[in-house]
Amino acid sequence: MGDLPAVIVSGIVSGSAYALLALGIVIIFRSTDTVNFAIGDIGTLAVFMTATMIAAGLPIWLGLIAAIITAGILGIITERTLIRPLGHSRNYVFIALVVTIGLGLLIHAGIFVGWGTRPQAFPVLIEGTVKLFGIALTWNKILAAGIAAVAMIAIAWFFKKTPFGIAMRATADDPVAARMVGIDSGRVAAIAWFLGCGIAAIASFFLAADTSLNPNLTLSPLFRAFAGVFLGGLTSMAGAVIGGFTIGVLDNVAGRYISASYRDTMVFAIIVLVLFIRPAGVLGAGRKERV
Amino acid sequence: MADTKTKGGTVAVAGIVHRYAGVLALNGVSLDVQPGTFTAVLGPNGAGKSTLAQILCGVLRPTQGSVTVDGVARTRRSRRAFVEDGVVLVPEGRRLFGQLTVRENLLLGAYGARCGTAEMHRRLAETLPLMPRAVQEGQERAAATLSGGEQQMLAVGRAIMAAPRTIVLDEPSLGLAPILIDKVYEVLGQLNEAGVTVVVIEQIAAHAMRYAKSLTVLDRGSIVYSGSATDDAAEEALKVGYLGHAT
Repeated sequence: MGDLPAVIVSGIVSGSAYALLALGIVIIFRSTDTVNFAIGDIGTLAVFMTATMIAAGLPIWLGLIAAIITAGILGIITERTLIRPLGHSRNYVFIALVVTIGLGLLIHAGIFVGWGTRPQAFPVLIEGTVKLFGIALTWNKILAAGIAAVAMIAIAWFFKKTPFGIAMRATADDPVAARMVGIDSGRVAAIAWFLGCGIAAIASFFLAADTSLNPNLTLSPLFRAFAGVFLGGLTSMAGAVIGGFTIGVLDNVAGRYISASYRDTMVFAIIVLVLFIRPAGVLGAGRKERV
Repeated sequence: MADTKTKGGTVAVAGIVHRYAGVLALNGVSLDVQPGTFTAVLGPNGAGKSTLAQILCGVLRPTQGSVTVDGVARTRRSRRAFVEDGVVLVPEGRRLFGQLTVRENLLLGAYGARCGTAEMHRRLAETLPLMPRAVQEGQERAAATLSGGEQQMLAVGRAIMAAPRTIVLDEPSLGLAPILIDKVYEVLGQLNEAGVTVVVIEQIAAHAMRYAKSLTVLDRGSIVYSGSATDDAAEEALKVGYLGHAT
């Protein structure tokens, strides 16, 4: 067990991608009641588009910003054209969920059509590795974790301190009252989708740099991000972030000490157990029925 | 009395019919709220009071009839546009943002009326002295942790933050002890003296009648009395028996 600190550090580093995706899922769910299964594919598509721009000469760090903005705009378009027209019928949550699953499949297939089936090499922001507790971590992974942390702090600040962030929390708390007060629910939805998909693009960007750029980039991370979301509770932003990191660590610990082929099994066994004890997640509020 | 120079926010409805999934809630209601007045709309349970309150403030669009703000047709406008016109609602059951802090609830009142950060804080400084001590001293508390009376005051405070020209309150006395109802009405009286048009929608007449200058009595979706709140006809209207607590 001597390498436990190393395993944990490496888990936290890979957990930052799950935490970002989980945070994106929760931001979108809280303001529009939509579980966005397409969030990973939207992020991946944005990174593919950015890769084309980088190949054409765009500096890599500008590429990151471009990916965030592209994914954000794709998010806004999705909300406007696919989610908002659904209105608020009785089965809205399920209908929206199926719509996003369909959109994800479409984007996934679209990437194959547009960029081919072969994984592409994707540049890293910084080269090299560093030794930490006896394990080698790439600077790319460490930078990814750092940028993830900055993004999370910025989002926490936005929701806590800016009037618009407060208005977004108010809408999540009571959408009818928010409308009565005069908060523009359309704008809240647009910003939520922009932020949610934008931070998913950060995760996709570093995942691509870590391995290669391929359409299945976020498949397994999104799987783990959802595990993190359920662990932390679908309504809690802090819960999603903690859940994402927890899954990263659990995943690594299980892979190291039990068996690499039982990683998923172990992670999900723990989630099932947690949900069995606390169905709303560790930090999630019991879901109120909306009138 | 009709100060036509008063800046905005005079609401009137005419020929309002409203149905919920076919069920008639309001049937031909017309109400012209004069600027600067204190109006009470009274009626028993199920008379259509909340429906009228929501139509007055643009939360609900009537099935038929027109809503005008300052004489301009506003029937099809969004709720946000009403707030910008200075027509603000304190909804039934307060509808505070329970998980947000007291201070955030107040700030959102001003935010909804589209005011900038500096103006928001100026209004906060003006509104806080009207609030009970628990609100003034517990600005970082979650709104849900306040008592019922404090929450009602906070709901009024949130509405004041929007700098209303007309404030409509839907059953502000619901579930409150008489001494707390007095506190709420005291603030409403102060607002009215400062030139704000006040409309209170109540089931129980006692408190509203102490402040109201004009009275509208609603029963089963229709107006059965509309006029001065102080003359004999008003007393007669209240005594007819719709209201168990006529003064």
